[in-house]
Amino acid sequence: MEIWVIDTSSIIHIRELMPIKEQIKVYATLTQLVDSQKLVYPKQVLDELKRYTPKSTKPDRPLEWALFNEKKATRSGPQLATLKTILAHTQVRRIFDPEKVGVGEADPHVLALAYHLSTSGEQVTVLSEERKDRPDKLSMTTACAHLRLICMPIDAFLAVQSIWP
Amino acid sequence: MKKLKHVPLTPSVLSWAIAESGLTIDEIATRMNLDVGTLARWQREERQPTTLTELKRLSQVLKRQLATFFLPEPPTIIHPQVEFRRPPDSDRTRPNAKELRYLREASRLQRALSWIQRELSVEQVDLPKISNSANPDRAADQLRASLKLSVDEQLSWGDPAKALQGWRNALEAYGIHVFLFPMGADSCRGFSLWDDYAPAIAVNTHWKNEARIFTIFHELGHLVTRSNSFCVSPGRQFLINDGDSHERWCEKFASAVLLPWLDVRRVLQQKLGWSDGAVIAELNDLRVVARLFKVSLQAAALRLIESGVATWSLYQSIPEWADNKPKGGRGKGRVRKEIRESEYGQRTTKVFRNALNEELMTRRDVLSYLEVTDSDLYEIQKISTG
Repeated sequence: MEIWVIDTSSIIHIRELMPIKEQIKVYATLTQLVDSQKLVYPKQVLDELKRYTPKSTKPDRPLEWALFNEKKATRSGPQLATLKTILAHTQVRRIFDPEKVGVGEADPHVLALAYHLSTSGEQVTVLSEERKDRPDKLSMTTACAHLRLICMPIDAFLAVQSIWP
Repeated sequence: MKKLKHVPLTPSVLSWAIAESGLTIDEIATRMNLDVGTLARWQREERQPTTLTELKRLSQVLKRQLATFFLPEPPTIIHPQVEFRRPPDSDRTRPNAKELRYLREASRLQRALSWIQRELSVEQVDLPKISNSANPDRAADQLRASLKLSVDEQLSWGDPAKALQGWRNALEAYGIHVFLFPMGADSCRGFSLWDDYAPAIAVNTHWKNEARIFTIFHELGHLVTRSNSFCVSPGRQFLINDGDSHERWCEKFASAVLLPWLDVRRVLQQKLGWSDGAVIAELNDLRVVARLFKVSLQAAALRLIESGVATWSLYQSIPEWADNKPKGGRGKGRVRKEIRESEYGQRTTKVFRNALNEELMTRRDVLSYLEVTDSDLYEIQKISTG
């Protein structure tokens, strides 16, 4: 089955791409994909989105969407053994900066989930906006390449799926 | 609590994270509400955490991302070389947990800021490199001229808070990042980290604004001498014969930048009726100078002593609590954006904003560095375009 694993950067990026009216439609379509088990994300994506929303206010649209779909989208649970497997790769382990203080980044968990599904026989694509490597952090695109996983940005995904525009 | 069959963390990484935290095993166990034996068994791989909650708690206490514990070996991190400077009578020999935590934060920020500046082809920061054998007064004059901030402007600042902001703005305009971190009473006054593109000073906010200003310029002394340092109570070095000469140089340099002698002399004459050869011995007179220049009593005393118009007995008469913040309300609550801008400074948010606008970093990347909310980041972007 074809499965997409979506990263925090792509969920947030939807807001940058289109006007509010269209965002509502796009998020609704993404919910349908979650319902049909084609779109997933790890719990850490939700944690990251929570961190980026003020506690005192109503969740913004990306968080609202991720919260609404939490149960179905995160059903695979934590992939800690797979996380350990992928971090054994000398390049892939640079997907996160171990010096970061504060809230953890979801990237290694997105990658672990994608790799777990891929090695379980699914046809997996990672959705992420991260394309530029930095000295202290490998981009999701490069890390995916090392693991032979496909990675694409959300706008390409939405176009390929005839969701938007 | 969700039970996991197996949490395969790497014992050597756990031991590394414990050592790097600056905390003892006992402190970690207490903070985790765990017995020391269990933690030791995790380190020896005789047992492993069985719940995600335990793992998350470990990650919070050791201030490491959860994924770190699944690395096959401790990461190779090139830490900046930072000298731990303390008065000879201090029993401290190494940075404490809070200092290490903030050093990590500052150093990580600096690496990112430096990378962004290089990617955007911004020129290196043109801060002169000065030897600590140079005359501190002359070095201070040179630096003060580069900052393009007149003494009249300094004297016009309404209060020490405005002075702190004024100095911070001047240094940021020069290319120096000034971080303000709540490191607490048991930590150093500040530390400095040299980098050609993003030199940084970190100041402990435990003390009042006048003391923070002096710390900024003390640490600037370390930046101009390219001597990354953690500085524990540097002022006391003066009172001890075998004190650190480099610290003494930075103290002289800091007081000379903040209190140019000719202007201090003018103030002494006009406000205190002082004349050449007279000695300033009263704490109240010292307060007049300190208040006008918005500096700490220590800074003012050092300047007067160095200029030969006061003696060490004036310095010793300064009460121990002189640098403590005034007691009172804790102020109104601040949102995360305000806290972050106060801690990291406007220059830092500006550089990250540039990285976002130039598509060097994604929105998520910038959020991760600044640890602000998405709506805060929209506000920050508006400031740049508005």
